Amino acid sequence: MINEKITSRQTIVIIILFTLGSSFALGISNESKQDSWISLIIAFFASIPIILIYARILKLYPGLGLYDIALKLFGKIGSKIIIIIMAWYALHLGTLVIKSFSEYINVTSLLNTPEIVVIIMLLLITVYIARSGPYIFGSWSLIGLVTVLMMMIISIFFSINRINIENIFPIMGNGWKKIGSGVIYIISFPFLETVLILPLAGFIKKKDSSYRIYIYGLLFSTIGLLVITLRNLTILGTAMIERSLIPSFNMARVIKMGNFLTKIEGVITINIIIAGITKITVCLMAFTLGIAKICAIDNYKKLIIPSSLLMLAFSTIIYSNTAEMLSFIKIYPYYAITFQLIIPIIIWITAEVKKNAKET
Amino acid sequence: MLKKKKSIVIDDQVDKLNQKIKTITISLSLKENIDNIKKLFFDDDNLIIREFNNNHQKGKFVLIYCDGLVNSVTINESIIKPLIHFNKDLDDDNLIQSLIKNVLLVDDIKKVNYMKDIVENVTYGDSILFIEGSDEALILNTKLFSLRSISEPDGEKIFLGPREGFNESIFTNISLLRRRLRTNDFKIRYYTLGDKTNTKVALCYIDSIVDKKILAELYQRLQKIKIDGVIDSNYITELIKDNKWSPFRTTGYSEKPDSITGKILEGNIAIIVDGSPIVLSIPFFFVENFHSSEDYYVSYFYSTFSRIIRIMGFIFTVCVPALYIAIVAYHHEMLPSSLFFNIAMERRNVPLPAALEIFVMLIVFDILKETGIRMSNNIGQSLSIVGAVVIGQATVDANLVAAPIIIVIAFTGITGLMVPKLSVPIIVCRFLLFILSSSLGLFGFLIGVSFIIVHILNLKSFGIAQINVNGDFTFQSIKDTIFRAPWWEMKKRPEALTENMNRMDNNEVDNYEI
Repeated sequence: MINEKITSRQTIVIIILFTLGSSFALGISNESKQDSWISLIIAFFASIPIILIYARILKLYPGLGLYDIALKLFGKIGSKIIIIIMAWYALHLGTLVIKSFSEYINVTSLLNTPEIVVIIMLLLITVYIARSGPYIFGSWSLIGLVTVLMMMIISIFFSINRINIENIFPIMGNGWKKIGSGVIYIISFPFLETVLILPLAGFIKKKDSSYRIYIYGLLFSTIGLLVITLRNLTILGTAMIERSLIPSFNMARVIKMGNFLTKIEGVITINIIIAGITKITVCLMAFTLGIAKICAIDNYKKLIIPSSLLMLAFSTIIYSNTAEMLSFIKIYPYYAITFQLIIPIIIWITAEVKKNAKET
Repeated sequence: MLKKKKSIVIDDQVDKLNQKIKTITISLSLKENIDNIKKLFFDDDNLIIREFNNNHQKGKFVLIYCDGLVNSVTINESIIKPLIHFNKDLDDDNLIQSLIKNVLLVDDIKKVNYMKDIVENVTYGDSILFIEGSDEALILNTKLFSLRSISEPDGEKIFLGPREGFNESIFTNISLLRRRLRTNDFKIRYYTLGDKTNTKVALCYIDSIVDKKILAELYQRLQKIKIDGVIDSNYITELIKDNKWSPFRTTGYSEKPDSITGKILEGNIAIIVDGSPIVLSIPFFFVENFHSSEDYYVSYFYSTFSRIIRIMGFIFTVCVPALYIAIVAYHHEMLPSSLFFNIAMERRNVPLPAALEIFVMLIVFDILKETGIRMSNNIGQSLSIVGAVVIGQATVDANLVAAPIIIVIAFTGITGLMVPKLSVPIIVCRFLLFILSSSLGLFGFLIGVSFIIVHILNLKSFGIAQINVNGDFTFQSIKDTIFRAPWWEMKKRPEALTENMNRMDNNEVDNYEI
């Protein structure tokens, strides 16, 4: 009797939280310093065409996920290659996210706790959500989004006296080149990571327009990111942001509500955990669906626990220290281009050609 | 040794007889019938077998009933007297029918062929009439047993509104509902559960409102119940539960007929179990945990306010001990400095770690609560003295626990009593969060809260999600959840429960303001 499909509103919410996810912890790229909000806006417009490609793929095959579409287009063997590549991306991204979140928790509050404990706790709740099915996941993200919004409003409200608008001047002080490189980073992280929503598209109700879902999701998450970026910029200033790994956390440090509530940065953890769990769940589901397709197993839910264990194992070896992670982030856009651009475009062109061939 | 063996032999016979009981029919010979009854009820002095004759018709009758369950006046005046005295000529071929029509002065008479029906009915206060030369017996309604009177239920006290409560008799309970729903659309279906207790269960619903799929699902689940006895409605609650291992309820309950009537009008099915004053209503929404029947009888401003208070109470009682320990042990920088110093001063002389203190005190509170329920009323005062003075004051003075912990425990305990329907999940969730946050701080707390939220989202009652967060909110879908809309806005019934949505005929609300 229960429907296992997610509504379009839930999908939009998942996209918003997915996009906000890591940016809460790591902030968006600081390449362009005080102009990073300009980079953000440009990146939004620049990623729209690619997002439209994603939406178009779903439009051509309504009710099917990326893996099913690949199976239809490339046959058994060809599709397996694409599924393996995408599943790898989901695994890798999910592990990166888990690792960065567990590091965040360790640095900010649980200094003496072994990192693996934090990772296991994160994975436990993620597995529970994933096993509950997409509808519950959507409902959970909706509740999460309301909480995140409330926290964002509270954090801005109580830090409003600390806002120093001077911090974003001079506008374009670092020139177009810096802004441009900032744009590239922001496009690949976090905007085009939404490619991982494509494998889950089979859960979305058929009648909902994929264009609407993607564009709205992207628009709202850009607004959210813009608010966070401007807040962090105006309160902390470029120099502070550059020094801190986790700008939002440092921002919360300056919040003061009279003499009563000070240093409520722990509360910011709520945002990070909610958005983080959403992001990890998307990655885990995308990865599990891929494995299920490759092994031709119908019930993907049986594979959630094994694939989460794979993530757990992978997270212990993915990088050994923060410096390694930062240097990986430098080359991440070029690495991610395969998954975010090349494969979707291949699928899109093949789909269009096949569609035309069928019609004529 | 010999005796034991003998009793085993008899038990075997009884077992065989009990297995055969469903197939034993009533024979034409009166003597054989009596023998069968005597065999079935051997060693039972409660059963009375009364033989008498009618001389005019040369009829032989045997009346069987259980002592103490029957109304002797009815038996004497309306059954035995007319049967012995009648002197008209009756149709011999169809004696039984003419007896029903012309002689017996009893309101409800049923004809049965099987011994099983006889056993079930004679133990419920009916009398059985056997007639020589007839292979049918008559079940005569002679029930009379003493019952608790209708009183206000202790579990659901209210300030305004109807105070009647259900009692243990299924017939009284049905009459309480029937009086409130005077329509032919109100259906009552009987069902029997329990091999040994043969408990009567009634399913009540309004035919034009109820969702037939839910009704079919309920029947399916009831059919799967194979148990020797059903003594209280909680047996059924657990046997038909959706999420078998969840501490949360998946059926609603009430002791008040007005509250059940309101549920039935929204499309719920009420399950009345004989012998239990608790009536179940299915399906059940999570938010109903926070509802009280009084909400609908007082101003909607006030009921909205008290619902929010109840929800806050649930959140507080689950979260406060966990948050306290997370902040004191892991994030003390979050406390205002003066408060932090106060707590630190209090904790200076205390030997135990804060987590252990809270754990022990939580258990102590539950011990006090349990004692309060079990003990007799006249020693209540001494318990409150022990609770307040010894456990509260003296432990702090003796530096065994810090004073802030007493405040935390008292607050947790009081708020925990506010939502009785959630008393079980409150304990589970409280300890889960407490353990997580005392080992992982605020992070553990947030993980625990996420677990609870996802679990609540997973709850289903007869296939219907107990809480539905799909983002498509309309006013009518949330009118009776956290807040209660005024009655003139309650135009629709809950969408998930029924297809017959319209509650009010006119969707236009008259405006009396001039």
